[in-house]
Amino acid sequence: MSKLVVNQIQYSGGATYTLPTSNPSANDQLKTDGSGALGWSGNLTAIKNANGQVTNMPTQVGSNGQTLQSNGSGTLAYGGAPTNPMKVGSTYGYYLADRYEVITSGNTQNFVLSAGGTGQPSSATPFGTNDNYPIGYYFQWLGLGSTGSGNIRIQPLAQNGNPVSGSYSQNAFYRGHYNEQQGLGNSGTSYNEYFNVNFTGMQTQQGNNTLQFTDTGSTTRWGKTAMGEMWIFPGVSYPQYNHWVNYSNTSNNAYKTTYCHMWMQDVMQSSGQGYEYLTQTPWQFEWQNPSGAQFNEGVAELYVLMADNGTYPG
Amino acid sequence: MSRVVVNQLQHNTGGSAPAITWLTADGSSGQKVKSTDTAGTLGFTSDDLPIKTQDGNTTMSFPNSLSATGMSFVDNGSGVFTATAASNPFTINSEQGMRLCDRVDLTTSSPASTINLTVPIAYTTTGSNVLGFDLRFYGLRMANNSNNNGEKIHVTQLTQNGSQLGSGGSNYYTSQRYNLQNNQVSNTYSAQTGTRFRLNNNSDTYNSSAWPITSIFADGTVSSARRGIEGAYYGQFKMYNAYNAKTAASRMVYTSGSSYNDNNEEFTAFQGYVDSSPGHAMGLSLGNGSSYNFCDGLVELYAYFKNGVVS
Repeated sequence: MSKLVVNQIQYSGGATYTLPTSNPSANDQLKTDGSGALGWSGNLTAIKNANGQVTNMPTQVGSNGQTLQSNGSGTLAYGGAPTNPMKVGSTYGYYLADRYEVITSGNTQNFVLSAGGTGQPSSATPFGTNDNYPIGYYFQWLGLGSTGSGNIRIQPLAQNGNPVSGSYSQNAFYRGHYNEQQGLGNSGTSYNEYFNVNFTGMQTQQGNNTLQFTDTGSTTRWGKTAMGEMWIFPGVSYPQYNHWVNYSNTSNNAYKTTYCHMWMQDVMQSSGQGYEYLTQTPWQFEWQNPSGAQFNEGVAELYVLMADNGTYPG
Repeated sequence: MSRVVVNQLQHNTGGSAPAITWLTADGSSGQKVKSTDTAGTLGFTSDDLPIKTQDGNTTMSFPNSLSATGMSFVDNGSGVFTATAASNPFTINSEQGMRLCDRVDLTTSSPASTINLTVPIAYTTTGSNVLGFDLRFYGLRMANNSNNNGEKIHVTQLTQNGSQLGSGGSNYYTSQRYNLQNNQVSNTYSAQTGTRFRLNNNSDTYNSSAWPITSIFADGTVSSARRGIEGAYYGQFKMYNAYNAKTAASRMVYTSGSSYNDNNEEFTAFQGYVDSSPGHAMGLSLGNGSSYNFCDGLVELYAYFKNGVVS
């Protein structure tokens, strides 16, 4: 085999290259130092983008669970992984489970918010399918308007979509509520299977079907939407819920804000409809507009609190 | 063109330098020259060099595919990364729940007579993307040294740069206030002028000249003169961010001037319109009728966005 032993080689009239003086490792690539001294390169410790911007790798490897982060000076560094503000140790706080944005999703007479997220409850969801796990629900609704007046209510549904209650007699709630118009004296029983969100009419057609969110007109309109919050303990025995709702009705002068606490009748009374319970554990909730009007504005959200052995996304 | 035909090249160092065996076949465009062995036999390759930490001790191995956006690279302690999504409890599938927008902690910041909280530009600069607000305040206390019955806190709608939305001259109606102590309804629906939503009717927030005018949150002194939390507001102002042009959805607040005067425990609700304040609000401001400084407490602004606006 012919071999030329020489320190440098030069393209005729071009650059002069000095040959390497050390052995390479397998797969090392030949490199120049910019002055024509050839050598071997086995790895990169920096990367360059198409604009020539160099990003340096960390000095040393990090610990298990750390993430790569920029240090603001072109060098990657290790840092803590992004944390979940609603998680501490192995326990979780409340999570968004479902959301219906009426204002962009379109008018509807009813809509369902599910503990299983936006997927069908019977299929795999970020929260699993064990209906024993949800131990608390929190609703918030904002600017919820409809095309006509009337009560709005929430029907608890089982995971299979059926109402959790079979008959009124099995699902009597005691409703204790007060509102700014009538004070604490207004309370009563309500033998039904729904969570009645408001005591009187939800709203008035002050704006007809005009959406307040986008209405740029000059016609004077009163607020016609409802907002509120609700907390539900969905125990099969003695479920209870507590909420406030603010809404307007036929004029500018009545029942605009209601604070309401509902629970099973036997909690309030020594006798009544017997031992009250839900026939199944609620897993989803249908917001209903029983007057036939359609929700046409606003947003409603369902947050869920799972048992510690429940399934949370992330 | 001059040419030397030779199989190997070797630096003249007395035999310690490798005898580099020259390329025997051409490569493809863009390929690089590498040594195929430890003896310096050259060949072409399309492989990139591995990426290592600067100390050269650890090869950094990245995931085979990155099919999702917003992923973080999490190390296993040996330089092997997996792409992991940061868990967000207020995002489910393609839907987003409430987001913290702004916060003022008066226990550590300077007292101020006005507290402005706005939607970050990073979230959106389009007002119609913001469906509503939830303003929460805790232990909010004013630094006035006298019993000024009628000191009222109020909320003003803001643009994103912190200026008042609209120029005033507007109207809104205050729903009846409900007083917890007296189990009574007070006030009427008389129109209020200006762009302010007055949260309370007659609460005093500070009633003694002996009480501090700076934060006492961390003050361990047990003294009647440290009863500053008495008279502090806590509450919530929730608002549907309807377009302001003679039309507006309900605004609701529960507010309290605490135990110094139980009569001040009250709910307040609003509805009505702000007719000369066109557009959607991009923030809220807390102020008070006499421009006293807020000197204690915490105020947070949360917002609800249309799906897809915030990640």
